[in-house]
Amino acid sequence: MSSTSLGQVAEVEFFPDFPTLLRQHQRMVFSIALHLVSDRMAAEEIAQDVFLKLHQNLFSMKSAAHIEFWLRRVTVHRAIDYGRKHRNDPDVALDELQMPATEAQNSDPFIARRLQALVASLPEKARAVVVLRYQEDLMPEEIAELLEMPVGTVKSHLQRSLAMLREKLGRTLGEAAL
Amino acid sequence: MTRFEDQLRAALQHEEPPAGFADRVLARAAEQDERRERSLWFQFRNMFAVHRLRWAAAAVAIVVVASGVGLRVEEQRRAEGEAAKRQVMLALRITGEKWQVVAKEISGKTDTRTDQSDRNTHPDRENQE
Repeated sequence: MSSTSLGQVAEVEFFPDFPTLLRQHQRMVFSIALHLVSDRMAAEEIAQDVFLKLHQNLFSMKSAAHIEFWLRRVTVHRAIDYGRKHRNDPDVALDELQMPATEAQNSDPFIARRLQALVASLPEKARAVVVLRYQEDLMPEEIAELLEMPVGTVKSHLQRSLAMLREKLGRTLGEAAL
Repeated sequence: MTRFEDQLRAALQHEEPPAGFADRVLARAAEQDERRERSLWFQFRNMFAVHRLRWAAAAVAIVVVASGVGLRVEEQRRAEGEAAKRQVMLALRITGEKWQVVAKEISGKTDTRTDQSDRNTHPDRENQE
């Protein structure tokens, strides 16, 4: 990953600039939160809190890679905490979830919306694993480090989640769509 | 990579946060800084105020102790002066008394000697008597 090598180079003298970091990582942080809580307002609230926490701890950051890792980890944990706090809120139908306003590029918008809704229906840990794997392109080992769980658990979450998503989407669209 | 995984990746693309997101975060960060600075200044002032009270209490204590010690020293010096004065007075009285005794004795002896010398110089008178 290019940011990792950048981080290693910058480790000697690293002077992070908060506004630059904010503009650089806002899409990533907001998207992780959005795909985990499925609510744009809640996602913005979580993302704001994460960046404020980064602002507080800015000078303990060792490198660009460290910041990226830290942002992903804190966002996932905040989003999971938010999900736990609002678990008893009235159920929302999958189609009513406030998913991304723009349609995914290079894909069928209907399938994309359906998949987003299905991901939102996964259990919290499995959802986090899927989002980190397919949104952030992280390897199972990186996800395991970030979520502090064994690599085997990450892989089994991925397998089970993919099978479930595929099955549910297949039921909706028919096998031909997959 | 299966087609399904590609579809999943496309569905989970990064999203732009709502307009003005970065500005809102920066505004909150500035507020946070201001609050922290205020609280640091407040803590510093509080600490200074506490220290000021401590210094004042210490100064008062030093003045009280110094005054007490000064008074005690002065009292002791006065007592010593009084004692010395009494001793001098006693010494003077004793000296005066002794002087009187000596003076008496001297004057007594002088009278006797005068009588005798008178007799020596006027033997007729003694004979006449």
